[in-house]
This record gives sequence, C-alpha cells and structure tokens, in this order.
Amino acid sequence: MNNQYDWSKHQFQQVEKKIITQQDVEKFKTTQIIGELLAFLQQLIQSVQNKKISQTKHNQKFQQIQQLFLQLEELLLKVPPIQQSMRYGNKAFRDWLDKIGPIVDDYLKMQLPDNLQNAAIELRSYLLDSFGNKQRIDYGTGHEFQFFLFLFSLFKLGVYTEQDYEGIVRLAFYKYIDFARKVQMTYMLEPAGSHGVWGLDDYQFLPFVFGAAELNQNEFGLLPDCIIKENVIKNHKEEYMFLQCIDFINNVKKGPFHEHSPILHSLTNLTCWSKVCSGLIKMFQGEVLFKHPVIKHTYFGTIVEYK
Amino acid sequence: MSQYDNPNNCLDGFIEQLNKCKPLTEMDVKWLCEKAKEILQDESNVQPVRAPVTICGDVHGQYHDLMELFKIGGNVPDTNYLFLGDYVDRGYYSVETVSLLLALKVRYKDRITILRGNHESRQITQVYGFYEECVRKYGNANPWKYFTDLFDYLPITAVVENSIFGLHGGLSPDVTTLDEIRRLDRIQEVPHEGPLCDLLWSDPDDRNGFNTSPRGAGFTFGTDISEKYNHTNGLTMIARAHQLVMEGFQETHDKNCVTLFSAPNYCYRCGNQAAILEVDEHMNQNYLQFDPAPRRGEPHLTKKTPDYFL
Repeated sequence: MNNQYDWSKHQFQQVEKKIITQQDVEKFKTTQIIGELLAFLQQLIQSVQNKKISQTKHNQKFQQIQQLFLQLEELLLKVPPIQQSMRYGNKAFRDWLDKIGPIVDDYLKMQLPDNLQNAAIELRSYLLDSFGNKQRIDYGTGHEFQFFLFLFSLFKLGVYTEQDYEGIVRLAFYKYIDFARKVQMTYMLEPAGSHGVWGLDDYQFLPFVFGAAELNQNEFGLLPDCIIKENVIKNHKEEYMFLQCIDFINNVKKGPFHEHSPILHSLTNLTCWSKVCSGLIKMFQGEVLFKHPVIKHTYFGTIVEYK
Repeated sequence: MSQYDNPNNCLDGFIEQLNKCKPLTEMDVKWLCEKAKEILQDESNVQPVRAPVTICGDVHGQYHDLMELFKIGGNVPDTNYLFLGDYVDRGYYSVETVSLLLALKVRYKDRITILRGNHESRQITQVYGFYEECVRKYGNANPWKYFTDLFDYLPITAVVENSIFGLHGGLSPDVTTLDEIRRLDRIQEVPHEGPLCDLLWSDPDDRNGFNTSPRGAGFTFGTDISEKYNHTNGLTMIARAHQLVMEGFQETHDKNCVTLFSAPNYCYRCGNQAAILEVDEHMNQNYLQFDPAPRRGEPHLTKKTPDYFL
C-alpha cells in the first residue's frame, strides 16, 4: 500500500481521538489499521532476531532523527527541574514541552521530503505526545505507543522502507527509549496508569518485545532466567535492550526484583526467548492496544486511520 | 448451625484472619458482601460522619502499608476512620485489603466509613489487577463479582460535622449543593460521564473554572470553584484523594482543598510518603505521614507466568 499510493496528492488532517467507548475498542480490533500495525511490528521484530546491538548496520536515513534527540536532550539541560514544593512530577516538564514545538517542526521539515511536507500536521501530534502528559506530568505505555505510531507513519509514507526495519528499531526507537528515560528521570514523571505488580513495567512495553527477539538463540547461551543474574546484566546490557530495561528498573525501584516486578520475574520460568517474545506480543495486544484506558488517548488521522 | 449465625463472632474471626493477611473463603466473601450491602444501602450519598475521625486516601492493595496506617493512626474501633476509596488494583493484596475494610465496616459500622473510588468499578478492576488477583487467589471470578456488585453500594461522599467534605475525586460542574448529590441514584457502575463520574474522577487545578481533564473522565476545577462550593454548602474544606502526592498530603486552593494519598512508595518507585489526616473532636487537624512498612519475606502470590505465555 505504502509504495503505490501517491501521498504527495493526499489531503492530511488534524489528528483526533476517536476511541471513546468500550465498543469503539472492540471496533478497533477489527480495523484495517490494526492489521497493518501488527504486521509492521512483526517485521520490526524479525529484523532484530538474534542480533546484538553492536551488529546494527549503519543507515544514513536515521541521521535526522538522531539529531532530533540530541537537540531535545540539549534542551533538557537548559530547562532543569525547579526547586519548589509540588504534588509529584516536576513542573519544569511543562516548560520543556512548551519549547520542543519549534525543534520538532524544524526536524519534520528536514525529515519529510518536499512533496510530503503537509504530512507534518499529523506527524507532529504523535511526536509531541510521545514524552508524557503536560498537565499530569506523567508518562506511560500510551506515550510510547504514540511514538510507535509516528515511526509507523514515516514507514507508511515511504520515508522509511522495508530496508530500514532494523534501523527503525535500533537507530530510531531505541534512541527514543534512551531519551524517554532521561525525561522520566529529569522531571520525575509519574507512572501514568500503571498496572502496578500486574503489569510488565510502569513506563515501557515494546523495548521488551524487541529485546526478547534480540536474545533469541543468542551466542552466549543466555536463557530467560538470566535476567535475575546481576553479572549477566552488567556484562551484556550494552548488547541487549531487554537487559538494559531490567537494569534501569533495578536502578529505580526499591526492594527485591521478584517483589517489585513479579511478571518480569515470572518470565524466568520460560525455557526460551521465542516464548517470551510471542507471549509479550499477545500481552501487548491484551494490555496496551486493546485496553480502553490506554488506547482512548490515541490519535487517529488519515495515515493512522480509524477504519 | 453455621458460623454465620453468630455474626459478630464470625466477623471477629474474619478480622483476625485478615490481620494475618490470609484471604477469606469464597463463601465468606459472599456472606460478607451481603452483610455489607445491608448496611451500605441505608447510607446516604452524602454520609454524615462524627468527629473525631482520621481521613485516609488511596491504598491500592498495599496491605502491609495499611497495617502500618493502623499502627500509626490506631486500630478500629479505638480510632474512627473515613476512607476515600481506591482500595484495590495495582498492589498484591487488593483482596485482603478490601476484605478487611469491609469486615471492619460490618463489625463496627459507626466507626469506619468507606467511600467509593474510581477503582471500585467493574471496568477499571479488569484493567488494573483486581480481577486478575481474584481469579488467581480463588480460581474463579465469583469473588470479583461479589465485590464489584457491592461497590455499587459504597457512598460517594461524606461530610464530617457539616464541615469537611470527603470524596475520592473532586467537584462536578453538574453539582452545586450537597442536596443535588443526595438526589443522585448511586447504585450503578461508575458511568463514563455525569456527576457520579466526576465526583470520583475530577482533580483540583491551578487554572480557574472547570476544564477538560487529561484523564479523559471528570474535570479539573480551580480555586474559585472550591471556594464557591465550600461557601455555598457551609463547608471549611474538601478532603479528597485520587492523586499521588510526594509528601502524602498537599493543601491547595488556599486550603479549601487537600489531597491525601495513603500508599507509600507507590509502585515501588515513587519514593512518596503516605499521609492520613487526624481530625479531633474540636475539628483541629493534624497530618500524620508515614513510610512503607518494612517488608518481611516473599509475598504469598505464586510466581505464576501469565496466561499470555502459555
């Protein structure tokens, strides 16, 4: 679809939230777009099967997005947390969000080809909503999903192609995850709609999915039970996203791993990473994509169409 | 002859058991919810509460921290309590937490008032863990059904000595007076919109007036709204919960509104204190803050891999 359709003649629109009721969630399950999103996700997963991070192929196409994250990070330093009594999250987050608009707009001008500049109106909304909620000063898997939709949109427009799947995961999405962690820590973002001990993680989901694929039949013979071995994480986290995620959680949460992250801990019962990955894909659908409190905040336009 | 024929003894047994963090049987849950319904159905949408009373915010299944709360604030019935909802979801022990509070309510109905939070809902508990926990601990969804049917009967708001207004969320553009709340039919699942929804979902805000809530339910309301509401209804303060607070409590709107949160170190990451508000017989207020209870040993929950992976 993406390569045949002439997007340069397309009428782009302001995105909107379309999912209001539980029935809308049920309808979402049957849309064409959900099929496209899941197929896209599968291709991305395949592209990083049994591959260390250092094995990532260089790809020019991702220079602009990496530049974007560098600029956003510079801005983080210019808008430090403020010392003030507040409810929880730091209010400087709102100031930072106010300032990222022009940076995002400049980035989109460079990222999008000349004949697709009009797509910015839809893409900017996904990007601006990828870092957390301005009013509540929180962050959750729904924000991560908005960024995923942003990457999907670039793919659907033909800016990224089938050759770029691995780059989309490692050169774009992982850069986003690294950066999102910095935002979360800088402004102490509240876990938005966390499922607590009944969820995989307060903030992220997809890095675990890709991370499980990376470890599939890995050369070190690491099995799912390795995630509770401190030395394994220390020695291998540079190469494997799943271990980076576990490391981050251990650094931030208090108490034993089995207590604060029981679902992740229960994965140590599984005998191979492919079972972890396929289970996480099902869980992603059950707990993120088709859960009303998460998906009701999703934006739909003409690229990600609610149809 | 069954244990249920001597209710007080039975309830004392339940409380003793729950104080050891041991869940009740399915039959016990059914009976307890029936008894609780009999009491709650006679309570008002604006339930009157006498001082002295200690007001508490969200607990979210953090059972050991609820035990800590009772250590700090005093046990029922020595201390009177007003809980502002959100007993379940997110934590390990929503079943034990809500069972204990219900058992205390049925045993000492005039000593403890329990209001409805936005998580005391069928829809929400199927997302945030309580349903899952019930099925794991009981092998079926019956207890979840008994509890969530019972949640419909929890009062929405309370007033302490005609002075402090207690509720879970916040104010509604559809409600100006306490009488308007009294006229609502609360015996239903929490709706997606309208006053019954707003009272459980709204948040105080810096901006004046009512504004759209980023939660996608309820509204945000400003200092002007709190002031006007308290003035109209002869109240001194709104005590609500629903939002994480670093220090456990936060006074806003020129002290017209206070947020209480009683789940310390929320999600094992937030590092927040919990707080409860003691109101003595002269209506003097004192905030008590506390940290998480020291954890001893492993939670009872079996390390079961979720069905997604089987």
